[in-house]
Amino acid sequence: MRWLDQVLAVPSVGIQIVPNFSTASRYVSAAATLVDEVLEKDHEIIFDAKSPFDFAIRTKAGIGAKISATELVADFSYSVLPKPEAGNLPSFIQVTRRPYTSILDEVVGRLTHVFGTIAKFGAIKIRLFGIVATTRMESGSIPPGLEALTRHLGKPWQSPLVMAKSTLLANLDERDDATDRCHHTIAFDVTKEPKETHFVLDWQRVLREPAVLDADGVRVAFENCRAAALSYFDRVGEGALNFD
Amino acid sequence: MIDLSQNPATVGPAPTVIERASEAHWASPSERSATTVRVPPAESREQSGVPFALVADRAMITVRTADPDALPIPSPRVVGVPKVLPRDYEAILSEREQLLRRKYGAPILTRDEERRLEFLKWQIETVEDGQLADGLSRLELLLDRVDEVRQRVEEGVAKFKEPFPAAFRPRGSSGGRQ
Repeated sequence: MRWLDQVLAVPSVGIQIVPNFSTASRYVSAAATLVDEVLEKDHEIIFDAKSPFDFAIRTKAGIGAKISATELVADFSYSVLPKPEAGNLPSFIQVTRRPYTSILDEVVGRLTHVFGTIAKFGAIKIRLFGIVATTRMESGSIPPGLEALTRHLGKPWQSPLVMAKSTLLANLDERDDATDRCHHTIAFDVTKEPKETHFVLDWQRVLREPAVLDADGVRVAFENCRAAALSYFDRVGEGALNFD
Repeated sequence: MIDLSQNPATVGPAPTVIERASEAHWASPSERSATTVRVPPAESREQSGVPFALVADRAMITVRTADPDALPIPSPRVVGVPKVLPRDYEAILSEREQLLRRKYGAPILTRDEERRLEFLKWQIETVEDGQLADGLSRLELLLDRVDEVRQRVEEGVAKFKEPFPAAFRPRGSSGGRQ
């Protein structure tokens, strides 16, 4: 069992692309196709277009996709929807917690689908793949590895930190074709929210040379990235990093 | 190794030592595996002039071939097994084990195992907390239902205590139910 499945964690996945406005200029057509495709499955969506090169789709189930000239992102958020009640204040529909890895598979599927639709309108050069885990935890329920990392940050002062808002970027594996790295964001403020800590693990595979892939290539790339990212997240949670 | 060739009295007890050491069921597994008793074949004994070689616990005893006169203790005491009760032997082993652990700083678990153990403890606690939360939710739901039933019963009792309307009241009755 993965620790991320045991806590309230949500995923987001993304592809950073080389900006190409010839392709981006066709986003309006791509958006129309995408909305039709998503509507067919999800029946009700929220569509938000900030500019012709930048738009977002979110389903009632909480799966979202953002498309811009520089990146394609899919994420998930728990939607708490009000249920109107006659003669009473609206009640809220209870949301069931889902395992992180299960939602991750769903958002990867959504991103692959978005990529496939966009790629029909022009080649997309990929620079980076990313898998993110975002979690907000109570102080007593933090896994030992993240606890150790937080303690480690306070070592120079020989006492626990009172407030932190930091992002640490570390290279994990450097190869000829790509570099794996991870942003670790730790944020807490004991003076304001004594029991709450916010962790974000943003794992990325940065390609040495941007690559043009089709939807199948992206799916396979995400399968590899998923395995590597989850394995690293496990190490972080378990405390397998070297704190000497 | 101990050169016992000069002392015929020590040759006899040696095989007994070996047999008992290997079959000592009361010795702890670590003791059995840590102790090695080697008996060189007769030919090599003749060549080297060493009838028996005893290499005991690698962490404890290394006795090498020496001039018998230079041996610090009489040979029979080295090769013989002291008469000791099993519980006393266990106490000796235990004390030695503790000292060896202090000396070599070898914990029972490796650091990785300790870390893993701590993580597993966290996982178990998280699972148990989840189960407890589920249980409390169910209990809360049950209490809500009990409250609802209690309210209905109270409403029913209150209605039952209401006086009959005049049309349905029995003759001679003042109103309330008995």
